[in-house]
Amino acid sequence: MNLRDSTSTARRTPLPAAFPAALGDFVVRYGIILVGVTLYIAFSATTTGFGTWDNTVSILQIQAVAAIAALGMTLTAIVGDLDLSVGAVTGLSVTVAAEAMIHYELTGPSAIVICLLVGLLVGCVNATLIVFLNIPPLLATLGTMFTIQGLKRWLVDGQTLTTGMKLGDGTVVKGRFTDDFTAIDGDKLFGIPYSVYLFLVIALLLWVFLQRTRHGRVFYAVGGNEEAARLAGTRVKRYKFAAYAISGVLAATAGIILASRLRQGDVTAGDSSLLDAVAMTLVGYAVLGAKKPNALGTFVGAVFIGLILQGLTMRGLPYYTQDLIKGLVLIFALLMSFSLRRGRRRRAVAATPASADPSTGTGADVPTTAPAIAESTHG
Amino acid sequence: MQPRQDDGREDRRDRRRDTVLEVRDISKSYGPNRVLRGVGLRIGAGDIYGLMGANGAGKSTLIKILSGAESPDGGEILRDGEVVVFPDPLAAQRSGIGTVHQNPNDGVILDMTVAENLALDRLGDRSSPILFSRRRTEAQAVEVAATLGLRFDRQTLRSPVRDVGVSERQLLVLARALSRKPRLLILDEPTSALSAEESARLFDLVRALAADGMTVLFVTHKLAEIDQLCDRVGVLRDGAMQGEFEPVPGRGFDWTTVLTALFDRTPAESERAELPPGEPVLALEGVRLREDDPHSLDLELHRGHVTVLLGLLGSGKTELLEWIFGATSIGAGRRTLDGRPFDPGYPGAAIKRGVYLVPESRHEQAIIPGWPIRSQLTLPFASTFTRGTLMRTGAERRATATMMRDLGVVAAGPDAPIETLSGGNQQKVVIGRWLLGEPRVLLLDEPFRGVDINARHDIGATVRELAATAAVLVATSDVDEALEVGDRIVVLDRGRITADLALGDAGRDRLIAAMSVRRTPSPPPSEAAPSAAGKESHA
Repeated sequence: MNLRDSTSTARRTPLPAAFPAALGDFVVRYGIILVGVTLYIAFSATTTGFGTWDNTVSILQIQAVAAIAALGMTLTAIVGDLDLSVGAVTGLSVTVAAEAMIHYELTGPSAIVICLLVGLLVGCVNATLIVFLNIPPLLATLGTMFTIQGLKRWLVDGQTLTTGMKLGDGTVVKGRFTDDFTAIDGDKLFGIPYSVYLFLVIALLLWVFLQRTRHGRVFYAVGGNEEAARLAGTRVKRYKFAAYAISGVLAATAGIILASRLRQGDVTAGDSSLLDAVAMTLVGYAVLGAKKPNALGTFVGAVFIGLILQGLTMRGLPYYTQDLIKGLVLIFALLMSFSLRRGRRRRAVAATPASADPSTGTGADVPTTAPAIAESTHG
Repeated sequence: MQPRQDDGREDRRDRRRDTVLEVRDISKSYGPNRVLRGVGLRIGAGDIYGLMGANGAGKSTLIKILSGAESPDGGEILRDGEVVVFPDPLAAQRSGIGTVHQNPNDGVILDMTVAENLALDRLGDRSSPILFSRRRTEAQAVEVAATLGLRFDRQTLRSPVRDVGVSERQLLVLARALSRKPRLLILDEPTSALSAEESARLFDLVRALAADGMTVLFVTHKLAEIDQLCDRVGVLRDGAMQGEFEPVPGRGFDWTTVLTALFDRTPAESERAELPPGEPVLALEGVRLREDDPHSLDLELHRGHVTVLLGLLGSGKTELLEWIFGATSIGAGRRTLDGRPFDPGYPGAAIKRGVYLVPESRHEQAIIPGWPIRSQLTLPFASTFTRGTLMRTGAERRATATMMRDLGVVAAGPDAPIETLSGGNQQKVVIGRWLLGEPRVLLLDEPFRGVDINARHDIGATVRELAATAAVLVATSDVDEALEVGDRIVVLDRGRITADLALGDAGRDRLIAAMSVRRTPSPPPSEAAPSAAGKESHA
């Protein structure tokens, strides 16, 4: 992003070599956005109902849950590694919301506060395991993921919690999802659901936070070179701790929206949002050639995946092929960020008899096989 | 130590007919930084060829190209008269070039045992059996070690490399390189981690190898080593060969000529006056690097002049600096800053009191990859460039432009990514970072590593200017750097101060003797004397 985008200023390359390099640059920077816009136009032109306002809003609404979790995951990816527990926390948040309102008959606002606190708690557990007990982040969050999924099922005896259901001891629960709670994903303001506003506001706040504030920059410093950040006076552990804690809270927020949508404590809810969030975060690496986790990228990734799935579904794609599409999109995005390299590539010498003359020995022109090998091995 | 007539140079001179390696017009740039500008050299069979150059002259890059780790932008390499291309290090090995890199840790796997490291090549060999056998590995390891005449006991063979000393690691890497039976052996500053005694042993070994017909390219920036070992010396400066020299029979090398080629000015020009110390700023008392250290050290740093902490790798200077900065803990010790107790629990606390560290490894400890100069610069003091918590990038750019002008940083602008700068300019940015604060104590750990000669002078000047307001401590393992920048030189050997001299009293010989005082009871060989005389007048 703005920390990276001035790489190409000092380059002086002869035209024949510069042209493909510049094209490569352009593709790497704007590839995802271009493909996204093209697909949007193509779907709108060929599929009735795709290009409408309502459909566009619904893409955002569908993606909001996993995308908010992905924004939290983005933060953890900046300082360390992906937070794999976000899906489980989203699901736990759904269950907790249902328990709070259906079983304990609490109000909507108190259910929301409890959900957020639970998310914060899980985030702090992750952070403690990672920051103070030195467990690698992927493994620590994998552990909490399994634990929370199990905890969630145990909480509800493996059942889906719905209004009026009969508990094991024969009593019938009297509570229900309150109207203010279901309004989060159910009601609209100016034709847009509150959940979409929430998603947009969180994405915008996180973007400003990461790109424009001192703290955002320190997060990137910690992720870029932890030791250098520490020796520059940063309290590295605090920042890492904060990242995982915030990720927990955001995953719980995602769960609140999902609970509001489902209006029941579905035991399997949220499970799929982990892989969706991973895909969105990683697709985000490719946006504007950032090659690192970033909030705008994650947002674009969410919209990109959303419009492809929505478009293909409306054209009759069966739901069970969705994971296949997501996987292919992810691999495409990873190719963009890691395999296509921008500018200033090192050129191997063409030290073959053909170019033995010193005047042509700059190596910029002769595409023999030797440079090709060198290119591919110097990752 | 052997007398000069018996060092085999005469024998080798007769055999030097066939060219083993020839390099023609090699060039290499990193971004805008032209590191090599058309280097050419030729090494005859059985030669010990010394390659000299100050820090940043381009030696390491040339070695990387010869060992296949980097590809040149232009020029060619000839092995036995035929053009060769090394797409990777393996190709260089197959062509008979063995390389021992400067840092032995680059060549070993720390968590594997000594035996496994010695037998590492066989481990990756396709003809090896699938099942791993410790006995076979150890037998292979003994075999590999034997190529160097080394005998490791069983316990050493079974301990992880992490637990053995730097010199053992160096020998291990050397043994592995020799077991591949190279025609040409490249030794890149092999003595930087070794004591005088260990160096002498290495030199005997190199002479023996050369007597057996191996060709050696010996890279160093130490005159004494060239004097003891080499048949011929090539001098590299600013990415180009400045000349090749051979010893005059019976008198050795003409050092005035060599040094002029090395430094672009006659040695006498660099003489300077010694600054007097000002008031004390930082006091260290009862410092033990490890709890069981029998000796403790006391050290007082003064404002007004530059103190150099001189010691080999493993002497404890990095630990000492990082401890002062609150970045690491040591056995014991008390710190007092401006008469008040100073006990920073983490670097941020030291920074608040005006104690700053420029760490040893620029890439691993100071630079955030991919960041532009301005963000690198403002990192420790980012909060002074904010409105609320939002960064004021305009103010940041202005401060960066000022720093770049003051320190002479050559770059496209404040937004240029740090990777597009040369090593010397990167180092200026890393030092410039602390000029945004109010330094009371500035600690610099090997600030001249990977820095070209001009940047080295600029940095030296900046450091000396800073001494007017802050206590400055420069840690280095290089005697010449110590003499170039210091007013007071403190020699550290394994956590103990073995000499504390004013510049006027600190001759090269005295310092070298103090650096390895506990390993070699008698002063170093008199062979070093002629070179020392030449070098001292330069410093």
